[in-house]
Amino acid sequence: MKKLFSLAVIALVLALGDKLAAREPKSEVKLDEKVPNFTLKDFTGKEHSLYDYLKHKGIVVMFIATQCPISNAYNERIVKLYKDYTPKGIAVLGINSNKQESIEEIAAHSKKHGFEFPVLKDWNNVIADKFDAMVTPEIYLIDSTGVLRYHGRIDDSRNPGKVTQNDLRDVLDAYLAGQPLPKKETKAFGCTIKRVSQS
Amino acid sequence: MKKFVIVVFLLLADIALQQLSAQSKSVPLVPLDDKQVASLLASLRGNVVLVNLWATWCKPCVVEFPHLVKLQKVYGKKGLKVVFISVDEMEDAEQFVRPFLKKQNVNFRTYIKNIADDEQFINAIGSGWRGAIPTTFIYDRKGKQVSTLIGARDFAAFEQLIKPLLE
Repeated sequence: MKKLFSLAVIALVLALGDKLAAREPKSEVKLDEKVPNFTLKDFTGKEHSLYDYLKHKGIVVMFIATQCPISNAYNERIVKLYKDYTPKGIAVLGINSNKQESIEEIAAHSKKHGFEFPVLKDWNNVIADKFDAMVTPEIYLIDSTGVLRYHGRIDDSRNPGKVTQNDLRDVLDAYLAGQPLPKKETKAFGCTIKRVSQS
Repeated sequence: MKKFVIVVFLLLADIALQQLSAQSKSVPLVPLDDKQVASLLASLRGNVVLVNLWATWCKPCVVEFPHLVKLQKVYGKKGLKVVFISVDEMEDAEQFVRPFLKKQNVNFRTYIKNIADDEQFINAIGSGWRGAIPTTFIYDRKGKQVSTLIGARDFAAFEQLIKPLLE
């Protein structure tokens, strides 16, 4: 009986171990490499596949949140980016991977802040794990062949009055002009993406 | 008479405000630039060190904070050093950070990012940090980084990790 119990415990530990290991984010998205396709639904239930947007000159994928003060500090700047760069051929896709932020909340947030681009719900943070996205806001610029060209921040301050480097705009301008990008990767403070494996 | 009462009231209010401000300023909050990060960690070697990156505007950080204060109170004598580093802006130190620390009864030294370039500070913290808060790094007595915790944890979760290191 004791032996059986021990075996059961070992089996349980192994099973849990597998489960925990499976939850470890493994990035499938790397700079200068092709980003794998994914399909997610927006808050209206409409499906969007990344590769459907390859007809654009570039795709800005933004991991954003409804409750994160940093992400929210960028709402107006995101709308301005969308308005400035959509006519130039850049598509914008928002992704919400936070486990506690509902479809209804995302819909209300998008409406309130005038987001005209799709905001997709990433249930169980599957896409955040594939991208190894850690914070909101976090940006990925994908070119028309599906290759990741830039990863990082929008600019260097959550306070719009203190911005000294408009990283994403500088990258987009250079990219659209066919020039070498001023930078490929940047870092910034942000709220952690609340994943399903987190308490 | 009415004027006299108003003047006395204003004087008393001013004294009370000054006292509050003085108490708040006694909460130890030290500006930290990118060059001081490594020397701070080196100075704490010999202890089990838990570095927590947080901000007053970060809700999970605020929820997690009292768990870490309790951890320091319970395990401080056994060699634990909890190092809070706020990534709030320096200009928010007096209005938001100090009052928060006071409310949390923090009586040990804590730090606040004192560098305008966030990326430079993130790189100085190193340890693979990408700017997500809250994040907690745990170092053993030899200064070796043994855990990286992204997202908030509670007292029990921290305790489980630090107890073996303190033995």
